[in-house]
Amino acid sequence: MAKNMSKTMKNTLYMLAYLLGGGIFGFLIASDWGQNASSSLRFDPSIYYKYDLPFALAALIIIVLSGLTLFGLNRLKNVPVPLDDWAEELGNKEEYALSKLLMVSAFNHIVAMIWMLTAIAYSASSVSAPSEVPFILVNIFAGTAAVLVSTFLQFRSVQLYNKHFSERSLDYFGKNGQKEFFDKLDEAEKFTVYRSAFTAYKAVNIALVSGMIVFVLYSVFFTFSPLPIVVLGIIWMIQQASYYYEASKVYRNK
Amino acid sequence: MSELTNRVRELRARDRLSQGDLAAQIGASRQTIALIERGDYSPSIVLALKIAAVFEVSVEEIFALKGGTDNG
Repeated sequence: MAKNMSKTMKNTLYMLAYLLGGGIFGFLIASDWGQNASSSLRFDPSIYYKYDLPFALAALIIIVLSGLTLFGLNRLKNVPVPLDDWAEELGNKEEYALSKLLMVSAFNHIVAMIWMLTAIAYSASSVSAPSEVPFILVNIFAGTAAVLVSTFLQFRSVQLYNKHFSERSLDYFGKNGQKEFFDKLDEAEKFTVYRSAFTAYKAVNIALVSGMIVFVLYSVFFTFSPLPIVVLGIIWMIQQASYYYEASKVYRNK
Repeated sequence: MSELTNRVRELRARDRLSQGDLAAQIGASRQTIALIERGDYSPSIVLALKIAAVFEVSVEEIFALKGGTDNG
């Protein structure tokens, strides 16, 4: 009874929060402040060149993540194979460090890709001025170099993983590397992948809706921008279609 | 958490097998053995039978439902 009451109370509080949020949102859009927000929200992320701060932030993140990856590679390269054969715990500290290394190298690669692609997009846009050409070129070359370095670091991290888990090795550059890797997993590891994939599916659902709301707000306060909303919608449909296609396989005759 | 209790760790100690040794014999990973022993994963029938074959006992002597069954 107490547990049900608590759940009802929680649902009531959520409902009140949604009502409050919706009320604030509606007021902001309808009010004078909302109508003139683009002049009020003067956020100019630059010191000398336009957008130099975001690019500098990306560079800083990559330096930190690359440093962490190099530190991890150096620390783990001399760990004996196998990782502590008589380990009884799930995930001794070397295994845990290896999993963190793979995650950090993946994030490093993503940030590097964002930097490079944003620099290319900025150079190709009509927003950039001719005087900014040196700045843009530096960002394109540095971003490309960051992608190459992060790819190499990620490859080395995967090589280290393959050294310790040779029966479940991942072919980093292979066309079907991910599928071949998955096929090598045992049932418990596959169960962990399924559970992780479902958690990622739920997180992406929330992220896509949140992203679309962000771009609606962007259109309200700045300029009408339908393309990001449409692109996120298409990604959402692809995600749902993939999920239901996989789930429907069980009903098909072999 | 799994609905099963198991004696995998006890039988490993009896036969002086590490998690890695048992895993190699049944074609699984050491982490899977650790998950089974901790009760975080219920093995499939196939895996349970393989584990039983290694220890030369029946599956029921290794795995049991928590709280018993309603039968009998």
